[in-house]
Amino acid sequence: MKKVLSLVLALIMVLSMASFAAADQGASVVVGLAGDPGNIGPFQGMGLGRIGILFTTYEMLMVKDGSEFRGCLMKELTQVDDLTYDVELYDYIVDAAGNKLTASDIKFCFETAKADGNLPKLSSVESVEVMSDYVARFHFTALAAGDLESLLMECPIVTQAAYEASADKMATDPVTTSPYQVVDYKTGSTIVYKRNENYWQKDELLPTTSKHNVDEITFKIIPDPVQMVNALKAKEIDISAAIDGSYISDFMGVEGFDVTQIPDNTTKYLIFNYDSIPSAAERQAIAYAVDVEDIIAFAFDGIGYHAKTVGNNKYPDFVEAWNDEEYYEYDDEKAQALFAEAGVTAGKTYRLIYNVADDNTRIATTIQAALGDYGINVTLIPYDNALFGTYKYDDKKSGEWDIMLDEGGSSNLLTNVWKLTLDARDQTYDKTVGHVADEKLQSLIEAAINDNSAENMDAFHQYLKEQCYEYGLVSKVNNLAHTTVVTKAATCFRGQILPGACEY
Amino acid sequence: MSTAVKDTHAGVRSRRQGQFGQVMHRLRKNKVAMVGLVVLLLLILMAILSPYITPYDYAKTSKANRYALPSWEHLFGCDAMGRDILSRIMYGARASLWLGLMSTLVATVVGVLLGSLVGYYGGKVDNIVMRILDIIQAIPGMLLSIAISAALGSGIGNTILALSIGGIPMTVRLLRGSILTVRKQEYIEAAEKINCSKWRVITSHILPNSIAPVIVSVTMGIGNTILQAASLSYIGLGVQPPTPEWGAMLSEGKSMITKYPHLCIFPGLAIMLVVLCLNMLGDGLRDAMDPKLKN
Amino acid sequence: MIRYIGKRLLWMIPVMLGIAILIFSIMYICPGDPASSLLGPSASAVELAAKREEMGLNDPYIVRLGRYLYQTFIKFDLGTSYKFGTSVFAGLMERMQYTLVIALLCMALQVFVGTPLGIMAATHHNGVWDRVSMFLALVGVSIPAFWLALMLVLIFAVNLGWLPTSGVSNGLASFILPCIANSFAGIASQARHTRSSMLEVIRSDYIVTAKAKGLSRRTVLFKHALPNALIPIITIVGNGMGMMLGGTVIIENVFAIPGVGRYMTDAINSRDYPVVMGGVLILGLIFSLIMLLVDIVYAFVDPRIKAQYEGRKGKK
Repeated sequence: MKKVLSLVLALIMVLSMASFAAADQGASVVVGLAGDPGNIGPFQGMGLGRIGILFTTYEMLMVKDGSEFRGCLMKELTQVDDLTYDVELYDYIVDAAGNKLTASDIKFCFETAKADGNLPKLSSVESVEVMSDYVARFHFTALAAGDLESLLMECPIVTQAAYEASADKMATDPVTTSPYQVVDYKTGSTIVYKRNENYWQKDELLPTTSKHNVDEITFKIIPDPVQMVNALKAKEIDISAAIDGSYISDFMGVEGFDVTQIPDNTTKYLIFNYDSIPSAAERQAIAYAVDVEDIIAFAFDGIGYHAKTVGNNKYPDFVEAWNDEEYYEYDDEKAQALFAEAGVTAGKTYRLIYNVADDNTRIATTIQAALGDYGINVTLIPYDNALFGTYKYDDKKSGEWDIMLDEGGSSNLLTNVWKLTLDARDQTYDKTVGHVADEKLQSLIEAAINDNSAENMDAFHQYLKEQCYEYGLVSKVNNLAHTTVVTKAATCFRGQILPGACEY
Repeated sequence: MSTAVKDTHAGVRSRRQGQFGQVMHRLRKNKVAMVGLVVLLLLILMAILSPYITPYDYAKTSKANRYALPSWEHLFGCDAMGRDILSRIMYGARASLWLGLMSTLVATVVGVLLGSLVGYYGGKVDNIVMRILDIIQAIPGMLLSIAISAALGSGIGNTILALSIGGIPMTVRLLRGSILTVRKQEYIEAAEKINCSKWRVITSHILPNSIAPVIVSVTMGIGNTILQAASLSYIGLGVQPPTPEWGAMLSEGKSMITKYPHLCIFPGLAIMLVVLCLNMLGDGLRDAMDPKLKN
Repeated sequence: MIRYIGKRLLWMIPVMLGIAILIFSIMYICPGDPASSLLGPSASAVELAAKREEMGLNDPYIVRLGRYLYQTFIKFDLGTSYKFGTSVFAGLMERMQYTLVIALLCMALQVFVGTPLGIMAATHHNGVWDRVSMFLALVGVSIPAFWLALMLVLIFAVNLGWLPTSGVSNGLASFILPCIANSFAGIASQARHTRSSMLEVIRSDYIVTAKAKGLSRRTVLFKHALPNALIPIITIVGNGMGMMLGGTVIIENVFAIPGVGRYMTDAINSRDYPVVMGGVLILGLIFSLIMLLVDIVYAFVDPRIKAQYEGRKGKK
């Protein structure tokens, strides 16, 4: 028996070593995060978990505040010529280690990020030239509409001194200019930030992303969706953007909780494979046959709205008039007529590929059921994330699918959503992802990308809609559920929670 | 009892049938095991007949019936897409049982082949095969299954393969140990002395006398495999919807578990029932095959 | 004995090499690549292709395998995780602490709850105790772990509020629910194995002899039967320990525990090759060592096996 007791005691000792002291009481907030940020260093690619902590960890030259672009580290932007811009920094920026941020750090960051190759957008930055202590001159190779802003927002900025002082390229312990600094990172579990008392910027000049209304922020990684709900119910976390739609009613109008709904920047859409569905009537028939309201009900618990184009309607270059247009609303008669016109008869089979996720599975199943009403079979081909990301753009795989369920969004412009799949120049095989080689489509998208005037945008949208090469399904809505510790939730333009900007 | 072996071929056969008869006789007396067997057979029958006997179409969605609670119309309620859960469980028995049976069968057949090879030949063959199995066994089973199904893609055939590979080393080890014991018995030496071919010695003399532990582990293994398949679909691998499969149903319903528990409870119970029955049968078989327990 | 251990240790070298080649080949065949998970969903096809080339993912199989084996077995470097940007070895060790706590606790529960249950069932063979505990054990091995886990959270964390729902930041309390959910099946199988092993020993000749000598039932059971019945249990415990150190993927996922299992499954999903390959290698090594340990312990506990080794030595 003694042996048993001593073993139990030893176990308890092991356990207490593994545990750590509870966080100090004070103004603090715990954010539930579904994705794992992994490497939190500055020059990493944009994984799902990373977006959630990006603006708490880093500051960029520019940010988007609501719908407006503004400088964060940058004080002034001056155009020199078409492809050359001068960026002037505030002259009193210091990072948490006390290093002064100057133009040479900007050059260092963009060059390092470009060399690491994780932020591919930066390839259109030809070079950065140091003009004076606080002025850096950017030379670009090409700039389409909206590119300038997205490039200046893309790269997190740190001082060269701090970056070089870090043993692991800041993968676990970044020292930044942001008002919050990482004090503890248990990979796969929690990241704790404390407010930097010597933060550089004056309160009246703060962009939303740099606000710091709370002393301490903890991000808690909870991969299981039910456990996210449970953690919020037990008030172990204060706020989460990853509460499953069907649980929202548990927090809406419930004592001690509140819900804020914010449109997400991503939209689900269908891409038709031109090689196997060359007939426009057939593509249109499928669009008419699918009831998007059913998809919203089944996959998003009624929270979301039918897209009006391939992309949502919150982008500045979205044309308001499209909101009132007809966009393939469910119409049984038209679908039947168009299927007949295209010569599609019962017994036909489509292969639908998608990225495995609960909502995608339900969308795919809804489409399967909808086309089943016309006697058309749909074979579902789900792929895991890494695989879908690869196959989506793989020319050799294009013979294995007829319809692709995809999702896209951009941080600034609708044209950037279109560019992902509809611009042949961005593919390795000179066709769109849907294998369309249509010169008219290509010239229209190039025009819209170069100049996103309402006229150019409308021309492309109307042609795309008429041909139905791709069909926008649902624009998602983010549910921010939180305890009443948070009085007002705030998000960045990517729909992620900004804990520092929330009100308490 | 093994000393009572006759050395003529016919004698061996009749004795084997006798042994089989004895085992069945003892099994039949074990009520618990018989209950397990009968319920299992009923489940298999249900799986075979499911296309004709499900009350509703298992794939028919309905907006009105989303998350419908159990009622007279839908005994087990409906899922997130308004599909009848009872029908899905009945139809899902096909995939789940097939998956469990086939993975275990594949693992057992390969395992028995390898096991009898190494058990009989020993020496170099034994050493090489066992080291290869060491390699497979040293990789955590769940991770191996995940890696293999990631490599092969989802789908029922690939899932069967992914689940069976991890089961092979266990079968081989069991059989090898058992064969090593049997080989030392006098009657095997006797069979070898009268110039029986090696193949004949293995198939007619060694295997029948050493297979008992494998049969028992097979019955228990099927249940384990069904649980593993459920775990695979929990992390998004394995058999994918809309093919109903109990594990996939559990994982589809898991996000609703606190709000609409019936989405999870019924497939969970179905899995439990099968595993329970298989274990009851396995226990019974073990007792029936163990000569020491003969009363 | 020492010769035997030395020989086993030497055999581990080709086994490790085999593990490395096997897992490398599986990951090589595995379609999909790390570029898309590194660059995120908004990277275009051209950008992905450039990243792939830069990472050396377009090199032929034999070149990549050679590079990997050289790095691992000559330079003893497991590499750096694509996703975390930190050393694979350090990452594994950091996560191993949580997995170790869970594995130890679960084994403790399994041994200290499962064994008495099994003994009780065996000593009351065919009695009420036997039936009840064996039925519970059957139910125990039949419940999917995540189902049980979520149910436990619902009761003890959400409704009663006694324990945290997930995470590892509450010390011992964080590990209670994961361990109960995870060890349920283990307890059940331990009880079943103990029972059958115990029953077998009770029926053996020497116990019959001991009984015939007129020793008390208690003495026979605990002095003679139990120590012998526990020998096969060593294998089960060793096996279970080895498997649990491989991570308890499901439980770690449900309870958001940053253990080895989640580290590895995340790595498989994002094709973080260094983590998958380094992790499997280290886990394989640990597993093989534990198996060796089990065999050694076996030899010490079981005089019959010990005699075998000595007999072998004598022959040579």
